[in-house]
Amino acid sequence: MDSKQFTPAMAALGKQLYEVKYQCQSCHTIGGTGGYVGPNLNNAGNWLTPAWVEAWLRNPQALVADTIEPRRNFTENEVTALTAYLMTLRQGSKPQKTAGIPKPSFGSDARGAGR
Amino acid sequence: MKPRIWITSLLMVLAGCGGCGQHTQAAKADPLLAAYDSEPDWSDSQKAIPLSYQQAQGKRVFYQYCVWCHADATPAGPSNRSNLTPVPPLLNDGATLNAESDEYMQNIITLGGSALGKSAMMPPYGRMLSAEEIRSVIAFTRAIAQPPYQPPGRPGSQYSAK
Repeated sequence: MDSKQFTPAMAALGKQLYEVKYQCQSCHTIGGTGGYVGPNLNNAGNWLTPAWVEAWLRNPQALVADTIEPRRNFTENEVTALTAYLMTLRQGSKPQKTAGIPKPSFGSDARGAGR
Repeated sequence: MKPRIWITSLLMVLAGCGGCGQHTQAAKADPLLAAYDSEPDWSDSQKAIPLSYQQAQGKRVFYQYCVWCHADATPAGPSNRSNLTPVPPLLNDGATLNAESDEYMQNIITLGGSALGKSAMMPPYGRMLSAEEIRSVIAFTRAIAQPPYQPPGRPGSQYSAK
């Protein structure tokens, strides 16, 4: 599913599934809380594509054979909702202001043309 | 001519013996052969618990999938256990796990915590591990339990001598 088709309601359901039903925070960190078994998801929206996240949620071992991410029995609706939620997780991609280093002059949006 | 043959054969015998000695030592020192045949007692590192074939398979599965939350130290460093509420039991916690039947353990590993009214932080492994692999993890749990696990006795037969 294209990330443009995700609605805030889907993302809200995904957050609920993430935090309450499946409690992904046992292994993944978002914000300052969560576990350290799986990768930190604070920047999942910039780091991963929606299609990859959906495929991963359906069958992690199909993408990385020896991963320990448990293969769950998500419904398609749950896959979409969880992906919508993860796509909302974005950390600022603009460079921090640093004293003494001249500001780069290549336009205001540092995300680039790819996104 | 004769002494030369005698010296040659003596050298050959010596060389042969040296080879024999080295070969025996090399076979003894292979650490991979012993990696899964025992587990140090978690509460007494001086003690090693010998493992059966099935328990050794369980040890392999445990150190790949379970160790991150059901032990205080992992092969990769400190464990995730202290991040979790409720805190998951250590795998050798006999006081907690000895009371649970093999069937219950099989169910909670296969279906996950939420299916049995326990914490949803325990994920289901039924689509990742085979029933046999899960049985082997339970066998490993029983092997390292402190206090030691006592399998439930069979109910007395009505035909047994009184």
